Amino acid sequence: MSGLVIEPPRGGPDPAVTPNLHHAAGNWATHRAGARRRVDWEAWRERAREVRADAVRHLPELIELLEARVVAAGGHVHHALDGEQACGHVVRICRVAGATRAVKGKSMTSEEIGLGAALAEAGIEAVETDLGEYIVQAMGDRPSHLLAPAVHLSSGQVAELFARESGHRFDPDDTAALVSYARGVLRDRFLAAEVGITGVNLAVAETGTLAIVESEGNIRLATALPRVHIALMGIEKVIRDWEGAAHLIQMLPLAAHGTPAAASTSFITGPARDGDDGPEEMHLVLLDGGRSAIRGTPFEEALHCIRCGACLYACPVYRQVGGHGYGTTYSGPIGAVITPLLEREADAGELPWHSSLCGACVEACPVKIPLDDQLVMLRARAHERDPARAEAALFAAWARLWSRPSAYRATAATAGRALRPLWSALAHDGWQRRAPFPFSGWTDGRDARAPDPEPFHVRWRRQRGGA
Amino acid sequence: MVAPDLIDEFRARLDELDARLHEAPSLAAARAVAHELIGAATVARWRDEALDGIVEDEHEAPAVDAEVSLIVADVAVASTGAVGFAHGAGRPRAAGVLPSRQVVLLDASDLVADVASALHHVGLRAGGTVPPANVVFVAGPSRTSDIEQRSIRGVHAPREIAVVIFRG
Amino acid sequence: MPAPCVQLFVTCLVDLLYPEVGERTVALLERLGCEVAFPSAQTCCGQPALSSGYPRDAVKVADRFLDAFADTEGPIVAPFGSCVHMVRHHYARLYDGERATVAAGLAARIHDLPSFIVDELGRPAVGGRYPGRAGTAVAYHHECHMRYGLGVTKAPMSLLRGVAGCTIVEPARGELCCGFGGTFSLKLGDVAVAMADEKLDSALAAGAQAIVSTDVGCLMHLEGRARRRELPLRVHHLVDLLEPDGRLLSVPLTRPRPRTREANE
Repeated sequence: MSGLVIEPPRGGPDPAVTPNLHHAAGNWATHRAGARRRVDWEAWRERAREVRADAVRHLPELIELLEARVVAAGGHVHHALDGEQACGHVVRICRVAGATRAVKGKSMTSEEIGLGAALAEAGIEAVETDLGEYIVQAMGDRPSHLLAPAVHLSSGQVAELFARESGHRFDPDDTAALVSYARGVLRDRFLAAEVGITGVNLAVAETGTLAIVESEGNIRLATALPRVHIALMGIEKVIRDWEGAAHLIQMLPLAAHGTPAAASTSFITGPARDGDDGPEEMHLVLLDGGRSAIRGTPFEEALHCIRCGACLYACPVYRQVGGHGYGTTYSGPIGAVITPLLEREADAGELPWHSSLCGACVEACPVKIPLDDQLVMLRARAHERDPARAEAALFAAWARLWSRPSAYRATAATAGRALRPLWSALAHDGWQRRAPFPFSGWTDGRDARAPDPEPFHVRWRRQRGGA
Repeated sequence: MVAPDLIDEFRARLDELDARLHEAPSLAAARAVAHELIGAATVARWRDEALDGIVEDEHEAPAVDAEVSLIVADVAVASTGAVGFAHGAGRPRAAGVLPSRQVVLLDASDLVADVASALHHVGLRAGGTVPPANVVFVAGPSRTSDIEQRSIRGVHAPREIAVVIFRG
Repeated sequence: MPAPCVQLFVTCLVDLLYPEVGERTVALLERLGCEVAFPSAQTCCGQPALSSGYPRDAVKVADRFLDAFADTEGPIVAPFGSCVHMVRHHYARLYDGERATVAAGLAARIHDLPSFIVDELGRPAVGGRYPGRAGTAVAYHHECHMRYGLGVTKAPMSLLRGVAGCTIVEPARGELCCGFGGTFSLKLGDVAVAMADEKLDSALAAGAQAIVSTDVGCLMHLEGRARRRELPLRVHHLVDLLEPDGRLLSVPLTRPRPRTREANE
């Protein structure tokens, strides 16, 4: 890449999608204001940061404790170094259980490892049961937001999809009818499924308990009806104890929706016990996938993320391009940071530039991840690994000139006076419609302000004398 | 004795969540309220003493067919409006989630102020026995805004929650 | 406090592209009783290189900031908050040892202009007048690096409220970034322009006739787009409005361009 212009993988702002994104972000902004009135937000953020920092600092020991407790409760634990191994575990668990029908809850980790494709290849049907994910799966599309996977779709598109599936007509404005249809279809799937596959929001090491939040109820059904439960989790989701869990289990919905409790929170410790009607088998698949390599680096705080989605809602760039505009599993500010770190995807190189470094994400983050500073560090890292020669040469020249006051002043004089006659042919009261290299991209959409022939430092010297 | 402001706070949270709180002076009165709320609907109920005498046998139905879920809460959280319950023998998960309406009986002495106390109260703590295999906290009806951000109540879990709180 | 001697850090964008903002900053500080010094060896804070991922080049230029100001005393004032954020937030990470101590010393002395006037000089308003018809509707655009980076929003609003002849309007989602972001405005130009459009359209929808900020990068970006779209919006630096008699010297105005310009396109 030359470094001078970056193409967002899907080509920039998408006018078909932006109204939905703006609406969703607007709702979130209102909820966010509500959350800050409910609690001492800054104190809560600091506590949440501490809980996550403690967990990531002691990750190996907490994973060991988690495993011991899950096994003591009758569950099975499987370690996966990478996505391929994780998919392998899931497929093998299904095969051993003689299962070919699965229901899935929303899990970004499962997207990250391409679980859907691996299951399909193994002849295991896995229906997405989160409504947004169900729609996206049925359309052969990809989710575009951590919390609202179908945010980029219209109700008309959904009505059309359901009409194709069912042979009935749906009124796009009758959202309740659309939801009711999906509920009916999915209920049959839940009842027929042999395996329920879910993600995990937090894992409490001290008792081996998995916490999963939701608003629809599909997680409860997926962990109640099928006889096998497989929970897939990135290792960084572990926390030490219930004190931390009590705090984070409120922080997550507060940051995401502005309320201190999700509609349903399931706390799962092993398979069904004591005459309970739940799954006979419970399997926890722990995915490293490049996470432990981030510990001990300046990027460690990125592992604190609790996947609340707040940074996506806050980000002014995300609101223009949407999740698909990033072209990767994890989008938005956290996606721009962790995707290059997990070194998963080919497009990752350009992600750190999908930001104006405004800092809105840092302010929104419930665990205070310094995302803007990390993006700047990732930019430097990207240049070290794959120098953008033209741009590097420009900045080297700029630094050489501007690190000497006399050269700086000479640049100003050159730009202001020598180029001015050239520019003034195009100029109109200090503004022109064409800027020269390397600023020519500016004038594709904007007029450009010309350097003043008499910069401030010249005026000062003229008016005040001195050096 | 439960502080009246705890109940006030709980009621306010439930209101925000679009769930109903009914107050009864005794368990017997609570059973009567539950009976009223259920009306002629079919019911999937848990086996718990507190729930005896509310529903006639002929109105009981398997969870997958029943219109109403009738359960007992182990704890409730005033600060969030959530009710929490552990599953086990006689307290199947299916009966607690499949029907589209839910009536929850709650002993007022199980209403606590905050999430940390609630987790402790319901056995989610270290030191001693393993926690129950599955504990669920429900804050209001199930919902989704996945289609154009329009909020719809009632997806897979109940769309209506009524909590009947009584002094035991 | 007795009016101090203030070291002016004019910042490269103001120096080269908005020198009148520098002049008005000096005039204002002197009107408020300060003596203003201008260390002439200053160039730039180095931020463009750091943001683009060239920290070593940033340090070469930041070194000149340290040299220019290390031997001075008293408050350092800049009319552009983003550079203050660079010095306060990033310099500590760019340096270690003795240079880090120097940098920390400067970070403790540097202020953005509105905070200096309101918090250090203790002047919540300094007058000013918006010229022309009374009641021009003005929307204030906070620099992201001031709002999120420095945590400053009250001081500029306080000064704006002291300006006669204008009413303040609040566009929806006013906290959103305008899309300048330094080199971002070039690298993701289409997205940057879409962000500018949202900001300009929401200002117009709120009834604004002018947009005011202290970020000359934002001003260039918003005014550049407003001119291209021929929108009826004026764009000013806050200091332009704080002239006592509202003269607004040589402020560029947006007006329809004559039709004879096709040859230049």
